[in-house]
Formats: sequence, C-alpha cells, structure tokens
Amino acid sequence: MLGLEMVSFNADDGYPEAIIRSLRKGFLKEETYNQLKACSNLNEFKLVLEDTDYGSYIVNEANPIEIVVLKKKCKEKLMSEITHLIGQSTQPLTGFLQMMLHGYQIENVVGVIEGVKNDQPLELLLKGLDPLGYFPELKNIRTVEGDDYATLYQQVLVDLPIGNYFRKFLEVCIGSIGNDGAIKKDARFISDLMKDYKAEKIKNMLKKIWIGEFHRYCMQLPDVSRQVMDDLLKFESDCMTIQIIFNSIDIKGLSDARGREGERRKYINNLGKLFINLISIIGYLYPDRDRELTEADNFDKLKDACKGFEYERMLQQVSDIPSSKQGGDFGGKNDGGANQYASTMSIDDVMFTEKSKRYSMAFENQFHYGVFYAYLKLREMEIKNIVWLAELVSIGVPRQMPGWSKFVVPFKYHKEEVQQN
Amino acid sequence: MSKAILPSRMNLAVFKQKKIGAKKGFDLLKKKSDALKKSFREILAKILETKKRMGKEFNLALISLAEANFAAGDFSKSVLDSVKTRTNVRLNISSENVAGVHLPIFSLRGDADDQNDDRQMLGLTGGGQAIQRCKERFQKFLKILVDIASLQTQFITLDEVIKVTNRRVNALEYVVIPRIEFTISYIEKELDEESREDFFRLKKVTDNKKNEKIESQKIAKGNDDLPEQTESIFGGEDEEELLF
Repeated sequence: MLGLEMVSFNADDGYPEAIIRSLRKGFLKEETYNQLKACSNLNEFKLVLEDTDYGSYIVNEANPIEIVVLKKKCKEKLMSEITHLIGQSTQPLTGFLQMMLHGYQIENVVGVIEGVKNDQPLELLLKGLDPLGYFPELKNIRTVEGDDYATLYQQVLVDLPIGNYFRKFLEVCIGSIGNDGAIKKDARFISDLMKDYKAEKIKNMLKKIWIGEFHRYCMQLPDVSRQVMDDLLKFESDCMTIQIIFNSIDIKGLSDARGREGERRKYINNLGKLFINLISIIGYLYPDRDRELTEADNFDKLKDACKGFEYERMLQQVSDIPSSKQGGDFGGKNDGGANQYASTMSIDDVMFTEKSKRYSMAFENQFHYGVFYAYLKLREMEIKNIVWLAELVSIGVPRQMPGWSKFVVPFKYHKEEVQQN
Repeated sequence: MSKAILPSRMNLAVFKQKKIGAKKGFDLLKKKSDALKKSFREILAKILETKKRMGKEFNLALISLAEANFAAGDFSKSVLDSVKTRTNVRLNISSENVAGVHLPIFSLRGDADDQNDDRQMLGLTGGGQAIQRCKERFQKFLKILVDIASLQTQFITLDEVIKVTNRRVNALEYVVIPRIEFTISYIEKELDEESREDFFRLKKVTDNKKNEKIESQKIAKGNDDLPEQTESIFGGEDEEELLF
C-alpha cells in the first residue's frame, strides 16, 4: 500500500508537500521560546519575534504592538501560507485544504451574522475576524429583515463555500421537530425555529456537521492519508466529546437526566443519534461507550466511560475537576496569586499537549495529506503559545508562576520519544 | 451688633440662655465631628487596602482571561454578541447612618449565574472551565470595584460633611460663643452702670430732700418754740440715721 502511495503521491502532491516540509523549519524552537520568556516588555518580545518567520509580518507594526494585532498578523502569515498551498495544489488536495479552512469560516460567518443582527458596522466586524477563516464572500452578508436565517440562507449563505453546512443544519432543525405534515415548513416556520438557537449553539452544531463532512471527505482519500486523517479526526472529535461532557457537568440544563439525553447529545459528535442519517458518526468512543458517556454526569463517570482508552490516562492528569471545587480556591487565599496556578493541569492543557503530540507525529509520516492538517494545527498552537507568552509578558507575571511553561513546543514530545527509543 | 441690643435684664436672660445653647451645640458638634473623623479614617484604611487588592485581582483576572483565550480561542466576540441589555446582577444602594450622616453603600445583588444564559455554552468544545474560572475572577474583580466605588462615595460624602461640621464647630467656638459672651458682658456692664446711676440719682434725691428739710426746719426754728425745736431735732437725727 505504502509503495503505491510513494509512486503516485509525488506526481500531484509532491510540490506542496515539499513546501510544507520546508516550512517546518520555521516553527519556533525552544531557544526562541526561552528568549521570548526572558523578555520584560512587549517591545523586546516583538524584537525577538522579528528574527523568526513572523518577522516580515510584524516588523512594520507600531511599538508597542497590541496583542490582538500580533495574533492577527501571525494568523495572516499562516493563512497566506495556506492560500499559497491551495494555489499550488491540485484536486483532491485543493479540496482537502479548503475543507480544512471551513471550520474557521463557519466561526466567522456565524460571528458576522450575529454582529449584523446587533447592528454593528460590517467593516468593524470584518476587521475582527479570524484571518484563517476569511474569504471574500463574507462581505456579502448584509442585514436581512429580522433575524431570519432562512432568508439569509436563500440570499447569501447558499453561495458561500460553507453553505452546504448551513443547508444540513436547517435540515436537521426541521428534522428534529419531526415529520409532522400538519406543520408547514415555510420560511416563517424556520425563522421561528431559529429563534430557539443561540449563535453559540448554531456554531457548535455547524462545526459538528463540518467535522463529519470532513471526515467523510478524508475517507475517500488514498490509504495513508485516510488512515492518518481518520485517526486525527477521531481523536479530535473524541476530545471534543469529552470536553463537552466535562464542561457541561456544571451546567444544569445539560447534565440532568433530560438534558443528557436530549440537548447535550446534539453537540456531541459521535453520539448524535438525531443526526444519524445526516452525518457520519466518528470517534473511537462510538459506539462502544455511547451509553456510558450519555449517562456521565460527573467526572468519575466520565472517566469510567473512557476506561480502556488512552483518554482515561489523559483524564487522570486533569486536576481541576468541576463540581468539586476546593474550598479556598477563590475565597480565602488572596495572597500569592501564583500559588493558585501551582501544578494545575486543566483539561484544556492536557488535551493541548496530547494534540500537539499527535499532530507532531502525523507530521513525521510521509506521502499523505495529514501533514497539511497537522501543519495548520501546529501553527495555530504555536500562535496560541506566542499570544500566551505575550500576554504573560505584558501583564508582568512573576517568573515563578508555572504558567510560564504552559505552552507546548511542537515536535518536542516527539523528539523525546525518539530519543528514548 | 451689641449696640443694637437693649441692655435689659430680660435680654441678659435671653443671652445667657443662648450661651448655654451654643455651648451645648458646640459640644454636640464636636462629638459628631470626632465620630465622623473616626469613620473617615476607617474608610481611608479600607480604601487603601481594597485598592491594593484591586491591582492584584486585576492582574489575576487578566491572567485568567489570557488562560481562557489560550484554551478556548478567541471567544470575546461571542460574549459581546450575547450581551443582554438587562443583566441579572444589579447594583443595590443602601445607606448607613454614621452620626446622622447617610453614607451610601453599594452592593451587588442577584445571581450572576443564570442557568438560562447561553454564555454557559461558551467553550463547550474546549476551554469551558477556563472561561468559567475567568468569569469568576472577573466577577470577584467587579465586586472589588463596587466596593471601591462604595468606599470612595462614602469618603467624599463624609469629607464634605466633616468640612461643614468643622466649619460649624469653629464658627461656634470662635465666633458665636465669644460674641454672645461679649454681649452678655456688655449688658451686664450697662446694667451695672444703670444701677449705679439709679443709686446716684436716689442719693441726690434724698440729699435734696434733706436739704429741703433742713431749710424748712431752719425756717421753722425761727418761727417756733423750744419744745417744738427738740422734737424736730430728734426727728432730724432719726432721719439721718435712717438715711445713712
């Protein structure tokens, strides 16, 4: 199988992969991170960054650079690399790369729609968007009478690259009501329906549809690409599932018996029975642990549900568990804010580390599309790291705070493992 | 002023009464000012402490925001979009009575955690806990801000009242009371003067009367007999003794 890949892969996708491999050099090294950590203000911080690949994007910014601007510039750099890659690629890689960006585009579109609803000027909205999800058609979203997704869909969304997801979403909304012939499914009905959905919910559901679609797309790809992407997406969607359950433990509406069965399931990728016909169900935890996960309403049950998977090990590292807050966490201990951060690994940190490791590993394989996905994700993490450090530097956090080592250097874990072997 | 006052006994009584009133008022105001100053200092100390804490809390809040951003990506837009015009958290204004001064006290009321709030959905797919923590931090910070606002307002209100009270105390001590005392002494002096004048006048009158008597006696001496004379001498002696 691999042999066949090796023969055919380079014919179409050799050049883009070569570009990616060369870009790998541009990842910040640990020394750079250490330099960044040693900075005492944002001016120095910027100076250090100017020596890296990000240099040309931030060098013209006025001092002191704002963190928001810094983040935006870094993302713009990443986006320009991706668009360059799209330009250099042929199908099916082009489609793959474009689909990769759809997740970000969904966020932007939902953001713009919400903003327009709240009468914010479009120019301002466009400025605040994530560069990774930017596409020219975004400008077409204008105020539509009322907050009516149906009309909006007919007029605008259908033309967008991500219109497909919106269509599916609307279908799901209608489908969830039931196929009762008595209810007329016209635009009014849909707009009534939409009022029940908040932007955040819509976004989550759209993303869920997207990840399913993406997974399906990847399943059509050649062997190695399929395997790698399958693994990455399954892992990601499992992480999401666990996160959703973890985060919803404290939300009453989602963790009581009724919420667990109904509402919460809608957001969980691999548990979505409601959507069973619409999106592929992905994730390692499905269908074996479906029942257990659905019933999980506290952290221990969640851990039990993941027994036997590597997620169990991950969850064991998590130290901030909801609903069991230690008494003095926010109350008495006012002195020494640093102590509160001591050796806490939040679920986000654990997953961040784990994901970084996974992507790094995927990057090391050859002849598959996963590299591109891994590159995007790793770069995104790198930007997160930079922003985090910039944030710490600008606040002037004392050095002994463990937060300084919160970030994860890409390829670092991989390297350690290689050395161990 | 005192010139316009009729120096009478009645006015003297009135002013004496006034003086007692002023003294009493002065004592009371002095006490009030002391009480105010005491709570003023207490508030000052509290402000200092809260402000010191504010800086620390603000940094913590910022860090937790950075943490949430790190974990959940940029969620500020979603928060901004879901801002409601009416929040569950309201500002309560009650007042505390310190020595007759009503000090406003601000306090937050209402449950910050609205279960129907779709903001809870934030970061459901990652970073939800971090966002919650960030929210709690900022809520705590908000409480401190409200505390500071409350203390500052109390501070200003107290400051003004103390100024007014002190002015009153000083006015009583250095203007009103001395003036009343001056008036009282003036009236007393005038009254003394009057009584002396009266006495003098009386003396004059008796003198005159005596002289008249002596005159009439002299005339009578020349006209009357001896027994009549002795009788009149006795009477004259009697009168003299009575007089002096």
